[in-house]
Amino acid sequence: MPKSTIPEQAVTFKGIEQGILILLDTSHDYEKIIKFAIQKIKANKKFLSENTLFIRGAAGPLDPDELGMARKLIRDKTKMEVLPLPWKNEKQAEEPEKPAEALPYIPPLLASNALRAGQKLRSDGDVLLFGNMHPGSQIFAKGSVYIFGHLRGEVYAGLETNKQAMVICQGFAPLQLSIAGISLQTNPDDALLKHYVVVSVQNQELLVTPQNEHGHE
Amino acid sequence: MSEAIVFTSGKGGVGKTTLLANIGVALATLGFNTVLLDADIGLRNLDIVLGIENKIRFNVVDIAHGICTVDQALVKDHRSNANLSIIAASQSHLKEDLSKEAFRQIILQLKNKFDYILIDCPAGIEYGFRNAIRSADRAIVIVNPEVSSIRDADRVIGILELEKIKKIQLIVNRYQHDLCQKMDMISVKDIVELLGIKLLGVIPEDVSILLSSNEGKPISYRSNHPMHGFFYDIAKSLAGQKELPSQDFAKSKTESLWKKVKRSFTMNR
Repeated sequence: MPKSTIPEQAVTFKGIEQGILILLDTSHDYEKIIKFAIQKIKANKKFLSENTLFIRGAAGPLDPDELGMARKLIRDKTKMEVLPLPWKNEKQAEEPEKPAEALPYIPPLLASNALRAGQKLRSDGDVLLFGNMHPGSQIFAKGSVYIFGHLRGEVYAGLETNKQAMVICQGFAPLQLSIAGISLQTNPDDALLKHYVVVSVQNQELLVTPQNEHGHE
Repeated sequence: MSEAIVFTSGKGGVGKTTLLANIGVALATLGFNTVLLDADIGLRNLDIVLGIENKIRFNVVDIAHGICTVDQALVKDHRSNANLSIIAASQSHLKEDLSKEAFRQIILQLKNKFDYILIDCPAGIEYGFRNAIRSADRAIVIVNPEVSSIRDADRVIGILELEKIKKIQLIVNRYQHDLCQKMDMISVKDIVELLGIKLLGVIPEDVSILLSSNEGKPISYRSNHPMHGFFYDIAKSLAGQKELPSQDFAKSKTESLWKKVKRSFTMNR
């Protein structure tokens, strides 16, 4: 039974590395929770507008419909964009990970200019692409993939079992993406085309994290 | 200095031949000695668009096989102060019948006689395409504002870069400004950003271009037609007489372009 009153802690703000995370307690009536969240956002608008906002369920992931509804309502009512942040089990994340076995050093593959449709890059180590990656192009790497431009093609990093591998890019709209054989399950958000994005493996899932550009100190 | 320029697109039907004919006519009318070379062996079209089909006696494969000389195969189009010549493709041969070396020799001979050699490249990325781009100094990639055309153009640009063609420029053909403003069509700015090459010009969609091709009289010959100016602008930019258009094809520029067209329409009525 949904409770009629919403407790203060049902919507909380948490400072994270990339910005501010809005946590929703989904055990209450969802529409009321969102209305409450909008009230809270409006009350703290000045402070929040200086940061990138993310949204997530407090106890578990939001389902795509709920997430879409929350983002749309918040956008309509407050003119502020919130980005989804995949849920991860924080208790598990706090457990120390086993140190990875040292891999032999393999020099990275460097490529300048755009990687165009039909073109491929293959490496047993990392790949650094200094240019845009166009739709229809492919990168296969046993290590990480760093793209100094937008990612619109197919990236297969950490082939075949390297879960330490990461994908980093400036603008994220991949046709296909996998790290260590784990694929991206959902379609990437259009808003991510304008963000720096880091993709890594967390608990057998790909974690897509938008990053803000930090100024030089 | 003589320059061989290949017109290519990857995808078929985007308007390579029509555009090449019109820009060729414009270059010739501007006073440049220009030859149009149809490299689409087996699918001879260029002479039809120019309306000189009945004047063709020899073709490019005949030169390669030693049946005639380059001079014998050249057909002059006297409508453009006799500055425009064409070498037709063969209708009955296959692309493989024109060897790489023979084609290179033909281009070298033409370079001694002409300022600009415009090569009409076949669609696709197989032998015919590779042969046509191999001897080119510059490439012009033609796209329609649609995703498949842009994807194919991207593939083609990748191959052109591997062939060490340094100067690769873009023409957006059949652009519909009204649709773009309603966000139903990919904008020129997006295309330029996606492909990452310099924009040489934009040709709006206009049915009279098609009708003129059917008549065998390219629109560049009709000095009072509103579309006429678009081809001359591109020809001037191509010859370095005019600066390249704004790369983001800014709104003001587009609108002024369209006002120009509309004004010319009213004047013609």
